[in-house]
Amino acid sequence: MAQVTLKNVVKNYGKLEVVHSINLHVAHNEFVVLVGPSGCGKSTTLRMIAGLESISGGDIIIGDNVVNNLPPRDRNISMVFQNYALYPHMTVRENLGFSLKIAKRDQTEIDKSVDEASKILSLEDYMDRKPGALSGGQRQRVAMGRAIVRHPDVFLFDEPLSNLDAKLRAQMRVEIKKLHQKIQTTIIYVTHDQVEAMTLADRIVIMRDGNIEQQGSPTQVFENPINTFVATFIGSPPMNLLPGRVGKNMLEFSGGLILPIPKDFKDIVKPGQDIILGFRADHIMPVGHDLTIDGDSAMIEMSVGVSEPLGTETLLYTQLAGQEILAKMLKPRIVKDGETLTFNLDLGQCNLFDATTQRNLR
Amino acid sequence: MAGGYAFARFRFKGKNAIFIGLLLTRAVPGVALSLPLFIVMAKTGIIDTHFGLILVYVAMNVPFTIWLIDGFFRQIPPDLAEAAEIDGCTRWQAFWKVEFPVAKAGVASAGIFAFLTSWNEYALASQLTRSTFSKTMPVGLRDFTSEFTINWGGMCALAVLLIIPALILTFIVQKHLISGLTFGGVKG
Ligand SMILES: Nc1ncnc2c1ncn2[C@@H]1O[C@H](COP(=O)(O)OP(=O)(O)OP(=O)(O)O)[C@@H](O)[C@H]1O
Ligand SMILES: [Mg+2]
Repeated sequence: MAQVTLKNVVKNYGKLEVVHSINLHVAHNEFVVLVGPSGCGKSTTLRMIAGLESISGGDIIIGDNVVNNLPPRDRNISMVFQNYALYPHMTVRENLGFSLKIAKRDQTEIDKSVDEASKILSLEDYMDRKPGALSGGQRQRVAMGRAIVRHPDVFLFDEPLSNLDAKLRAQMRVEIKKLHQKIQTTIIYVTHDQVEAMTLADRIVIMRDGNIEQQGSPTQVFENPINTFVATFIGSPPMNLLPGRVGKNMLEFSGGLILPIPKDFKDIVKPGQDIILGFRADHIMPVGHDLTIDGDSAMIEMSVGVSEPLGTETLLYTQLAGQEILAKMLKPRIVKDGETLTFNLDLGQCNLFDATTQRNLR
Repeated sequence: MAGGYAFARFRFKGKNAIFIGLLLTRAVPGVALSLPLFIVMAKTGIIDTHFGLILVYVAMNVPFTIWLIDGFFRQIPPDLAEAAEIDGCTRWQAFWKVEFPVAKAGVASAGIFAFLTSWNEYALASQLTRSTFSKTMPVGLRDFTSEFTINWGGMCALAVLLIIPALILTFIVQKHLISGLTFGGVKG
């Protein structure tokens, strides 16, 4: 069993506090993704779990042991680095077997584990090459292989795919997912790419400025973002946000736009309150283009500024209440720039945020 | 070498000051030191001995070698040693099994550099060593000049002998010099 628990973990660099007392529990075999903008403290958190960075406060527990002061080698963890960190003077085979050699296992056992790992990651053809003679994707696989030969309790990944091009990244993403199914280990994975987070995670942990903003399954954070930051950070395209004010049984926006209050929020908002209405492009579509709405909806007329055909769908950039917003058109037809269309807004899928705290009112 | 590594990897108080101090010692011309050195060594009785000269050369070369080696270790991403530590190495093993082999080229060239400067040094050696027993080869070259004649043949022969060790050493470490710097393991 290898769950990982962080209790009020703090990190200071001198006077600067970069991680503010975070709490996190990762269950056995769970795939947790830490995601957030650059500089929010993801790598620092991961490195504290690995033991590469000391902690300034709190406790880190791996399995049943408090590991606060243990060196990395005594934590039974593996880590895959962003730049792979393969040993350049060793062949792929030696790279893979290095940890077992250090642990003084006998050669037959090393060979067996290395062969096993090379099969899982299809590295058989490169075993006698040095890392310098491998492509980025191959190096990435070697780095993962080096991590799995030891059968660690916990895998740590720090942006392992960010040096790869888009196509390879998508491919490796699937391989990592398969790897998790095959070897069934606890994984903590750091990325700033929300697509990776959405596709890989059992649970997403969204960080900002050294704090955890929200954690939950990909659907939870996608559908019920706790604040506007999560709403715009998770999901592509980001959620549309319209600042407005609560009137008498309705929402008023600049330019005279008036919308009904979404049912879930009717009892929560007070007249006169400043709010932000949030909705995704998937929930505002031109009438007649396949948006099935059960519940309340609102009709809005908007003129399309620019349209982006993506094949199965088209993104429409429009203006509403002085804000640029994004709508989607399924089963697309060609839309002329400047064309005015009637859109259907699915009110049941809308979120309301408080304008001052930016927090979801739900 | 350990000095260079320490400077490259560890953060410690006054690091920059020590580093600049080390480099400043290089700014003093060696010859200017010869008289004070002569007096100190005469007093301690190590003048005209191998030991004395070696001591002087080590003192002169250490700062520059530290500076060179520091540069080589700086080029190695810290991730490599961290990966080694996660793979089960102690700090010490991470150094010997990963960082040192990768930096071998740099260490070798620093070694050659230190050897050659000491081997060819003339000014200090000519003053601090006298007897046939302790003098270095460049100093020995001068023995072939007498008041009226110069023994060119003998001088050239010794010059060749002088070159040979340097050549051999260079050949030995050449392999490391060229092949060592394969930074393929880390995408730059
Ligand atoms: N050695 C250090 N000394 C001082 N501050 C540091 C140090 N290392 C990191 N920081 C600061 O800590 C904060 C968090 O850094 P961290 O590397 O964890 O960010 P990150 O979330 O991994 O970002 P990225 O997505 O860019 O990798 C940053 O603001 C950074 O400037
Ligand atoms: Mg990072």
